[in-house]
Amino acid sequence: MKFGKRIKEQIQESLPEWRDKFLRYKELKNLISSPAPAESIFVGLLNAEIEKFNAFFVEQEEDFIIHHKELQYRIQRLVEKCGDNDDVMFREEVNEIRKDIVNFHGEMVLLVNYSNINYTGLAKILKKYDKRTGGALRSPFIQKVLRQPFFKTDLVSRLVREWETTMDAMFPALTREVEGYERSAAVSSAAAGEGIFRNTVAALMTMREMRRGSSTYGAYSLPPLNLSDSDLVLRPVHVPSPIPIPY
Amino acid sequence: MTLANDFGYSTAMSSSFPALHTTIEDRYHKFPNSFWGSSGQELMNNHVPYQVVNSGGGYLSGFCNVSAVSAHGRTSQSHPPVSTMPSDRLFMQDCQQSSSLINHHPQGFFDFPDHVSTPNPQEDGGGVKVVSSMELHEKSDWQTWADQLISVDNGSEPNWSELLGDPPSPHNPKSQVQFHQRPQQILTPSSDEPRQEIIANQKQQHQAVSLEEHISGRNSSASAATSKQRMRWTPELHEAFVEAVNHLGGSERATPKAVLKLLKNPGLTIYHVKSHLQKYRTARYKPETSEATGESQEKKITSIEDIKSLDMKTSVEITQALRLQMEVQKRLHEQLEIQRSLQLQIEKQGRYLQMMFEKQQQLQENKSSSSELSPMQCTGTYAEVEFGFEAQVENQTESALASRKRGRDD
Repeated sequence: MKFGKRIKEQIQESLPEWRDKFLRYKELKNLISSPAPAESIFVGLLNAEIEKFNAFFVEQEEDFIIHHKELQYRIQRLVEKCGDNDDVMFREEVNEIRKDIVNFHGEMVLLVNYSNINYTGLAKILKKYDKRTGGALRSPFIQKVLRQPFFKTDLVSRLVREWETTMDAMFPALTREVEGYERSAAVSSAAAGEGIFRNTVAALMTMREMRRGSSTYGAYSLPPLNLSDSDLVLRPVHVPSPIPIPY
Repeated sequence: MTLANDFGYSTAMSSSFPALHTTIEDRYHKFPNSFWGSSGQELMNNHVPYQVVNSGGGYLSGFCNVSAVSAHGRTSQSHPPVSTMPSDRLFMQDCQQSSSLINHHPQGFFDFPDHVSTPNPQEDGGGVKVVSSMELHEKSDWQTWADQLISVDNGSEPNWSELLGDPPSPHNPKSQVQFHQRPQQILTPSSDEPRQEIIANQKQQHQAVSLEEHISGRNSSASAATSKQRMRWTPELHEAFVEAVNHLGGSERATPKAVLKLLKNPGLTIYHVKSHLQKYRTARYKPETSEATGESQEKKITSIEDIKSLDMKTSVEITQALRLQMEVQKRLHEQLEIQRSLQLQIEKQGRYLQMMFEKQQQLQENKSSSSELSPMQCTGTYAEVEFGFEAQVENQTESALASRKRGRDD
């Protein structure tokens, strides 16, 4: 029950184009609760869901790869243009790029999250199915899922880590910039990043919730989430309020 | 460049392929020529099906089948000392082509150079070691590997990590390879000295081009019939794509057909290139219009006037918010990776236990022949497995798993 609620929340907080790409957990659960859940129908639905995940994931990944390269070029061009010159004129662009990097990083992380939550949902629904029907569908089916493209998030994770490194290198100069016309760039960053930020926070909350002990805690359950210091981040969650841009 | 020209390889390749190059070389350098003469030929004839899935951190991305590009009987002396770059590209091309699972024309093998280069351990963020495992390779390992490739059928999955020398570790979620019924040949590279140079210069990158075939359920036959092939792009392939496009005069002037021709990747269809080109154009067009200084200046001036009420502090707040956003994202990613590896461990452990359980049942059935000893043996093995997994568990999850185990033993 909890997972169903959580995944629903995640979907709500997710980027609009993504919303119909998630696992249809509730529908599948309903199918299982029906008097005679037919395995062929169930499996058919699952396969369709998996196909949906694969198609979406691979497409997003392709977009990310392209964007990844473009962002790199952009930075390169900017560096060539202004080098170490801390000229105020370039700060605008630097800020733009920083914003874009953070948002890009966020989107990629959300894709990894997408993969994970769908996998988790599949694992759970399979468990429910076996429980309901006394079948042994879960284990072989999950083995197949492990081999699916949408589950293989290594490339995206790698890009994520690369950008984290890049950001560390780019952010140090941050505190020195308090220039007037950075506002415009900075303003837009709050609005654009907010959607991603909210989604990210929602995802973390979901994970924490999911990993708390449940009534059905068993051999296939994940241990509790270890978020120690990030609780500090999550608790007083202050989503930067959208700064209204008057027309 | 003769080799490259023989096969019409495009030279429009990026230079970031030495890693792949060296990986393949290292692998093949270990094998004596005589071996290639015999079983290598077998491999060629058997059209071993396999598919490399691109996994960024996975060592298998370094592995790919290399096209045989020379005729039989070509001796090492006849190999021209190819310069570093072209052989890089040649190699990379080979790998790209072959890993995209299309038929290559069997053309025999290169003879291996007699000297062997020292492989450098290759690792990326995923911590997967390719070359170090290669160092352990002997003829028998290769044989096993080859046998597995030959005997693979749809849905089965040889344990690549074992084959390549890595311990079957649950920490290695990246060691996934999918097998499908696609004709494939294992072939060998050429050249010698340049490779040593390349090895010295290698960067820590994995390159692979993968072509993933959509499989709905287990109906592989159905998917093959529909031939709906999903192309899984990699940064390296995209780089090659960009170079090809630039070579053709830019994203507006380049046509899918021309790009396809330049890329020389048999797994790539014009459909793939077309859609990728479209995405590429869109991606370039948007930022470029916003970067047009005149336009953006106007926008900025307008917004600055509109937001007169905002004070200086806001920009600092906003950049702090950016930082916070980044931190939260980083955290989420961290947790996702941990969760994923846990999930993989759980499944692996489950499989192991299942296997042991079945084994135990089997032994129980044979109880009549081996009398009292069998139950003890079963317990012993079971305990070994449990213990083995305990040792492999990460610190973070150790306590959790241990408590679960205790619960089960009761």
